[in-house]
Amino acid sequence: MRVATQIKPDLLIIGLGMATMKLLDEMVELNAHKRFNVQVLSAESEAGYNRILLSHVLAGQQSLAQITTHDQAWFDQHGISVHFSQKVAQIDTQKTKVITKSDAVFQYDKLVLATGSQAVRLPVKGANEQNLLTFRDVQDVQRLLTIPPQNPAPVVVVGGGLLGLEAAYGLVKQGHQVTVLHRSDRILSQQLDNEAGRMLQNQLERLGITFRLNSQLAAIQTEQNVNGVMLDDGTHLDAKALVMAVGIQPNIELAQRSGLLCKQGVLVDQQMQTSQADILALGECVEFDGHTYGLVAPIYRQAKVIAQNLLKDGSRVFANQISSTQLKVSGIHVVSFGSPVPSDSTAQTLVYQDKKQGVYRKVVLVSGRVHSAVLLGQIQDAQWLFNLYLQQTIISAHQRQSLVLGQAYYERNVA
Amino acid sequence: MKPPLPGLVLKRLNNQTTRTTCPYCGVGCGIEVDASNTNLRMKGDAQHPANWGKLCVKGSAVGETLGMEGRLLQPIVNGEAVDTDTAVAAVADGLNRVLAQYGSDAIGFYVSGQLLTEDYYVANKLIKGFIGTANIDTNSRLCMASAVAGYKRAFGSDTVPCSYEDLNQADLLILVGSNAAWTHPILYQQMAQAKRDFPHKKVVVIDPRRTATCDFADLHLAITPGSDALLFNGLLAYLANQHALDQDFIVQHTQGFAEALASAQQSAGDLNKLAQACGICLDDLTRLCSWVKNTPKMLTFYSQGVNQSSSGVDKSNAIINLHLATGRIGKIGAGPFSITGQPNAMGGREVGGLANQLAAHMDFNQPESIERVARFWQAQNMAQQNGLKAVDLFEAVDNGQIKAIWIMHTNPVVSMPDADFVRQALEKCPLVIVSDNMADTDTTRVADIVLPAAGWGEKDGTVTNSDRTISRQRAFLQAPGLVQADWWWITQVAQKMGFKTAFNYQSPYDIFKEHVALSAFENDGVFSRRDFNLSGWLNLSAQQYDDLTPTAWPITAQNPQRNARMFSDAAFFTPNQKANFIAIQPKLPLEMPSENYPFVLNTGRYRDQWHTMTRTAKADRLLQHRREPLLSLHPLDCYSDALQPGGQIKAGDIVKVSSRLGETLMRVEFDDGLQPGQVFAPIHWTSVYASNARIDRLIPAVVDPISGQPESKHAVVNIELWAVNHHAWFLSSDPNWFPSAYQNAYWIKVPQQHTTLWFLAGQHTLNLTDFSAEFDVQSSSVECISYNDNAMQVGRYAWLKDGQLQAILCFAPRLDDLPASDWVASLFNQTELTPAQRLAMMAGRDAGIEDVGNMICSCFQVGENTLRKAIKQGAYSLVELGKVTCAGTNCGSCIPELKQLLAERI
Ligand SMILES: Cc1cc2nc3c(=O)[nH]c(=O)nc-3n(C[C@H](O)[C@H](O)[C@H](O)COP(=O)(O)OP(=O)(O)OC[C@H]3O[C@@H](n4cnc5c(N)ncnc54)[C@H](O)[C@@H]3O)c2cc1C
Ligand code: SF4
Repeated sequence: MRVATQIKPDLLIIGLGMATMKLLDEMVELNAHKRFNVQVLSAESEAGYNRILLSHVLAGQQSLAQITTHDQAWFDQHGISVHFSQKVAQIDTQKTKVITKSDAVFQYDKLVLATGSQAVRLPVKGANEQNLLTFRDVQDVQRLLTIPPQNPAPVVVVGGGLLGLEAAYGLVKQGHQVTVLHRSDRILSQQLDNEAGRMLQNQLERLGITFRLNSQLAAIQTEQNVNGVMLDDGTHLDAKALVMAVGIQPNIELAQRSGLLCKQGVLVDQQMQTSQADILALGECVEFDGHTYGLVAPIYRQAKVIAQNLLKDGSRVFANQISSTQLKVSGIHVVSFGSPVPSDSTAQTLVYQDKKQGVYRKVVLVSGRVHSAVLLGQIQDAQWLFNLYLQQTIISAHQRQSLVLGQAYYERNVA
Repeated sequence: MKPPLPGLVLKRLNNQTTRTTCPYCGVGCGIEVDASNTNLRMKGDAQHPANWGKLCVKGSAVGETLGMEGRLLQPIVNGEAVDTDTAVAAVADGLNRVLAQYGSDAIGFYVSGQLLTEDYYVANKLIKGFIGTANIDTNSRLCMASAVAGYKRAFGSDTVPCSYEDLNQADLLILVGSNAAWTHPILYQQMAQAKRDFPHKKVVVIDPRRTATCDFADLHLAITPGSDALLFNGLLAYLANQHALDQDFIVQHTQGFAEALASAQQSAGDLNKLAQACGICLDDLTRLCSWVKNTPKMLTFYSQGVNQSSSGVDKSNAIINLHLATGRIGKIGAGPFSITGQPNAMGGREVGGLANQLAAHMDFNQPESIERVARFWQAQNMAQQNGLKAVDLFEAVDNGQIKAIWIMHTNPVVSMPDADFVRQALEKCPLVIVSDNMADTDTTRVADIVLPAAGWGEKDGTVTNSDRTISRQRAFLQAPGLVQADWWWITQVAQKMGFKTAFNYQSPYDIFKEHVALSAFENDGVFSRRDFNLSGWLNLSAQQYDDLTPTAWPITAQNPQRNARMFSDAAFFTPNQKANFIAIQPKLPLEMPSENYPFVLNTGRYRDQWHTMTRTAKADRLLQHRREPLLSLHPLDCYSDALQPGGQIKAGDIVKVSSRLGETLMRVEFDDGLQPGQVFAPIHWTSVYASNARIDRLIPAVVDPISGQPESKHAVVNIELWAVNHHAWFLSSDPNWFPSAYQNAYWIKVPQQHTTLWFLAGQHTLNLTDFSAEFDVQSSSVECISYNDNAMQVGRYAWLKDGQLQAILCFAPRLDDLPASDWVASLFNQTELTPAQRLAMMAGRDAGIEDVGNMICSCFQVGENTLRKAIKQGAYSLVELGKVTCAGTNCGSCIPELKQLLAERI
């Protein structure tokens, strides 16, 4: 299918997710897209949308149109071709071409893999494609929106992480009873310490979400539809639907099948190069230096690296760095970065707490530098703290007093 | 049966402006009170010759101290509240029983320079004429007994020979042992103004410590403590050498000159040696010498620093000698001017309310005087000899000689030297009667009978200030509860004791008339010739008494109006009318520093506090200048080997200050105005306001052998670091909260407008429940906001109830890690806090609000940081600083500190 007149190299991108859109934006910004014949193959049928905002769509706060960022017009405007509902089935690295499920073939000079990840589905008894709902893409959201609200039985969300909580919140907004099952003793166990976990749980309970901590799903009871779940301790809970939000796993089958080196994710080096010279990868599908990704911030940095390297070749590199996370539940503000319960014995914690107002601010210092932080309720200083972390600023004994109280106090302190 | 606390009730007055006199210091400023409503606005009385309309910060805040909080409202007998009749009977019976069983000398009165002249008069009459003993002494003993004795030795009478006007007229002002800028602010300002107007005037300050007063001095002589008499001897010897004495005056009007000069020459004849002995440089000394030599209008202004010494009388006579030898007395702008500390110390002297006085400037050393007074009073049991002076009085209480003591308006458990001893003595005494207007003082705690006395604004009478000016104190408030004036209690008790007719007064006017009559009684120059003479007022009507305008005595037919200059005729009140020179052998303080007690402790007042704070602590702005009693130390002394255990001391540390008598805990500040080896502590803090800062418990009861005045300005002490586990402050809206856990540690109580602030330090690990116990933290109406830095052991906790701030605690091992409390305190009267404020509380300041720093100007609440900023921005002079910040433009008492800040710029 190669057009003979073509002089520009073919840049083929698999997947139209957050990573790809960022990469395209970066290339447009640098005018790099003009040097290639860029084509995007998307397994999804919708125009490019902001996946993060699916939470708002589920909560009824935004529509699909509102979260769409890269529609056909955008692609036309920049002279980039996009092919929807084209799931790639195979990469022929020898012949530098890909074949889609519908047998379309695309030639490439450079290939970018951005297939993202998918929800982990626990292999419990009674689980199957139909009765396990997930929360990943537009189709998932559409399914979630069809759960019958008249049925008084609760929707059970498995997993009290960011995704699970946002799903639970959206479902409550849709008028459902929601019970969240969580394996550990506090929700957002990756992001919060016990105290903050408890405070957040209180606030979410006030919104109508029920929690069962320290419990795991053992089995799903179904007739036609889900009608209940069994917990590991034998408890039975009524349920009309079940949403799995226990984590994600990188989409690597395509890469594996095509002979790229993979572990958890598709292995890449610091230039986002896979084991194949002309194949790059980024986003949630990759593994770099033992890490996989679940937030956009590092992925955006990867996109920058690739865009610049496509322009100049090779000088930009990617490095790991912790990210700050926040929960998108309206009226509730949580920001966290770094490990909330540091294992380092020299770690020192500063805590400000105003329970009644739902405010909790904690900063952990290691060797006089910000190591991690949890902010609940008042988060206006999160960015500033995160920057102190990134810059590894040394906090003086005097400054430390106002650190957790925020920038307004801190800077005056210095003056 | 506690009656509810009434608020202030105004007296019904025809005239809504009441002219009265400030209750604080011996300057005796006139105050105009706008009593048309209970806001009670005060301003300086523009007609009053002491202040011509000005007031210092204490005086302007006096209205704020009149609240009913803590007032004693009913008599209490053996712990039971009773009515007035029962109380009067209990006192009278108690005194009669002691009188019958043990005799007159088993009774003592310990009264105060806070009493009005009329109160004083009847107290003195009762004990000396009817109970039959002169065991009455006053707390004025602690402040000016040496000055009295000095005058009497020299002039034959207790005559202050100067007036405030002389302060303007003098060309050379020598201030000795006086931090007038803080203790007598209005006089200080008057002197400073005079110097500004006439820059040729010279001002010399003689004080071991560089105080705020040195600010306007041309010369500060930081003499070795106790070397003042030596210095004045030296001046006398020098002038004699220079033939600069007034020989005519010496010959015609004095006696004893040769002996005095001989002692002076022998002890201080050599300027070099003198400079060395006084610890000053020769240049400074010769400057002083030449100014003294060349300036006829020389006035020596002295107070506690001279008086509170084991040789205080000698020191004042050394000063007086110099004035006599130069004839600089009885003349405009010249004289030895002793300034009293208390509002009516002079009135006390006039009625004779001291153990070594009889009455109306008569003494026990003349039998005819005793007979005269007995006749005048128709006394039933006339005392025949001097009674026990303050220190001896309490010793007699301790050894059981005195069985009943009546203490009026004073707090000896705090203010007496060796105050712990006084407390123990009183605890043993079978009958302790205390008249006070506050319910809980260190002294009411040891009383058997407590009588509620009228306070300032509720009572009527007269007071005499430091320049002999008699002014009216007038009532504009109804006395609350069962409160009565002191004269009323005394005369009721006297009548009940059986002295009906002698004490049948209806009003202060009746008493004043008798006081006038006694001053005039046989005082015609024939029977006797006495300085204190009010005969010009013999026919004063009740109305005239009410309308009395400030008038200086003597008031006689020859000079019915103020102001007769005393001694302008150089006729003194000795038998031959010649003044006495006293030969002075200068003595150093009795106790000198030693290995065990290497530091010399000096004591004194803070600018905005008064006595034992029973009153000033009620006006929170008066506590802003200094909220804690601080031990001032020379910066070099923080390294001194003498400090045990070897550790270096930092500002803000708590130290244990100990003498051989006891110990106190105080926070340290550095003051390079002190000399190394000398430390300074304020006298004000009592056990109501501090766990252990009663400085008088360190002071040995060493007294001047003549005046009996204690050497309060001098003790030798040791200083050790008191290592703390934590420093803390706690603000509570509950006035009754008490830091029980800190009983044996460090606490300072600072009453504030909406809260009470506690400064705390402990050696124990802080226990949060000591503070949170009263809050039901489980209750949904109670909430807690906290900040914790566990690694540094820093914590801050605020407790709110129904959204309103109740208490806040901040603690840290280092003082520097405590935030400021002022801004937080201002949140206590808000019904709801904004989220920003809730956060800001933990920082101790609003990010939007400046931390103004140490409060410098209490009137306009201008802090150090604000001032520094203004200076930075170009306010380089006092005037500009005042324009920008208002600081120093009202009472002016912060001007020395402002100047210091201005000086630091350069
Ligand atoms: C509901 C929700 C809320 C989130 N909120 C946040 C947040 O607040 N903050 C944050 O940082 N992150 C958030 N995330 C995570 C964030 O969305 C992901 O990190 C990000 O989308 C990953 O980007 P990606 O491009 O790697 O993967 P994806 O966005 O998942 O894109 C991968 C795309 O590749 C397609 N694809 C896969 N295989 C093939 C194939 N073989 N052929 C063609 N196409 C293929 C997929 O269909 C998909 O469209 C959220 C995620 C979800 C689901
Ligand atoms: S100077 Fe003394 S008398 Fe005058 S207002 Fe101040 S305290 Fe009162």
